[in-house]
Amino acid sequence: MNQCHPYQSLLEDLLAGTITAADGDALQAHCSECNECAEILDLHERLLALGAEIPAPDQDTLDDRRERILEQTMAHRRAAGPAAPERPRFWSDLAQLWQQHPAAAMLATAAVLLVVVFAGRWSVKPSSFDDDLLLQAVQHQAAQQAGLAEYWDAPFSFTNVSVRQRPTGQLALSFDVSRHIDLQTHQNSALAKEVLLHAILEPSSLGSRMGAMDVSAQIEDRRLQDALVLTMHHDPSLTVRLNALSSLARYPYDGQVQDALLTTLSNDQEVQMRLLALDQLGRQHVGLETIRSALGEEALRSDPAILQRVSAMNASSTLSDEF
Amino acid sequence: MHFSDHDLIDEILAGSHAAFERLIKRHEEHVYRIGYSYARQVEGALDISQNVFLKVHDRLGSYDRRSAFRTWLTRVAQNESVNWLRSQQRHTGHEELTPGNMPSYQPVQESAVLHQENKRLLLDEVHRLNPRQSQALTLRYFENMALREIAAVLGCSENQVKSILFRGMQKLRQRLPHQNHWDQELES
Repeated sequence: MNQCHPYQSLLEDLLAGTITAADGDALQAHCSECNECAEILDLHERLLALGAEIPAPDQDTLDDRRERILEQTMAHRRAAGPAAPERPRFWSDLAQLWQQHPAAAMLATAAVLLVVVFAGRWSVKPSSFDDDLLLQAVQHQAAQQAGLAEYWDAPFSFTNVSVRQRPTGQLALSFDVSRHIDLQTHQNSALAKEVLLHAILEPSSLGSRMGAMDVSAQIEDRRLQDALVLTMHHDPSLTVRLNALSSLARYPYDGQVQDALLTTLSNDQEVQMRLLALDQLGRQHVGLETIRSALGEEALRSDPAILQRVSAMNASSTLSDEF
Repeated sequence: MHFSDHDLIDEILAGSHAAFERLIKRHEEHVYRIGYSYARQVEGALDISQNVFLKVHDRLGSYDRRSAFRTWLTRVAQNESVNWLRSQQRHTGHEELTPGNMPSYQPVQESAVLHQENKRLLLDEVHRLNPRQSQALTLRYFENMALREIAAVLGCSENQVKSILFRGMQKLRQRLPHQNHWDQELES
């Protein structure tokens, strides 16, 4: 087919998937008389059919491959430098325990089941046997959670979450997981932490998100800490980010939190976020060189409020002299 | 809360495995389909996907974010697929198909076998095109990518992609016997 072929541009549109219906009809009609165009149309249809035939991979196989990738990258990181926090693998650990110490595993499993059953009975008044089972399943699942990856894969989706504080360390939880649940439980229970996590990351409203963060600030938990860091870095609302940053004061001298604060110092465009991060880092005696490096020379020069705060942090006023 | 690819990358670079797992889940099917279009078998496609994500993890620091992450990932996946194909040819001693050693199109009794063979030949020919034509056709037909996305992966304009697709099809038409020829063989 030479460049002058009148239907070349229509064929190009067809192959690119941008042809209009009218042009498509015109091209079809032309193909009944033109062998060259008919052959290209035929190839186009055969390739479309081939693309549609690609078999979807089995989900278990994908999960297995993903696990292998994560294991390899973790091993690589461990070999390359300081150990990244490991995500405990509940099922593989339990299987290993069964193989190595079956008696101990039996006792541990029985203890876990007893705790789950009694915790369910103590903290709620289920309306029916099915509801009791549902809550036990939610509590059991919450007890297994170790990292944010499990949060993303959680079989239960929590909506309309709200958390209210009650005396003596109790929390009133209210949420929907296929049915609405209201219950009171201790703030350190796995379920309380699970619900808080959902309230922070998938909030029903700004108010519930803020409330959950305030409560989280009183509980030490690695997953809640991760959730607060994610919120501090990525939440679109400045108010929520500020609140997450304040809540992280719960984890002073924690390397990961300090790194997260330095990231905020470096990446967040809001001066209020930077000032608050500076205050927290200052209270934790993070070195001025580290802070200055995270801020960058430009921020120090261009923002008088930040320069003033950094200068105030430097008791010997060395930085003030430099700028 | 929605995390963009770039949000997740920030977290991965800060040491989060959960974020990397999330990123893999988001894109694994896309990468698998690219791998499958080259490997033409599930195990091969999964091997390619695994290698792609390991490379992505290693090289994430060098991703400059000027293009969308999916665009960058697609390039990595296509390069890895081509490397995988080459390594398979080395291991199995496959000769690259040339006009001289192409199998002849003899009619066979089993129409299903012939049909499969025709598909295999078509895919072989797609991968024998020059790299840009082969990439463009793979992304268009096996990844169902939009013209704009293909242009981003190839680093050219949308009009150039149209032209690349068209020229690739013309080459395929010249190299492959037309379907009618096979249909006639099936009928005879």
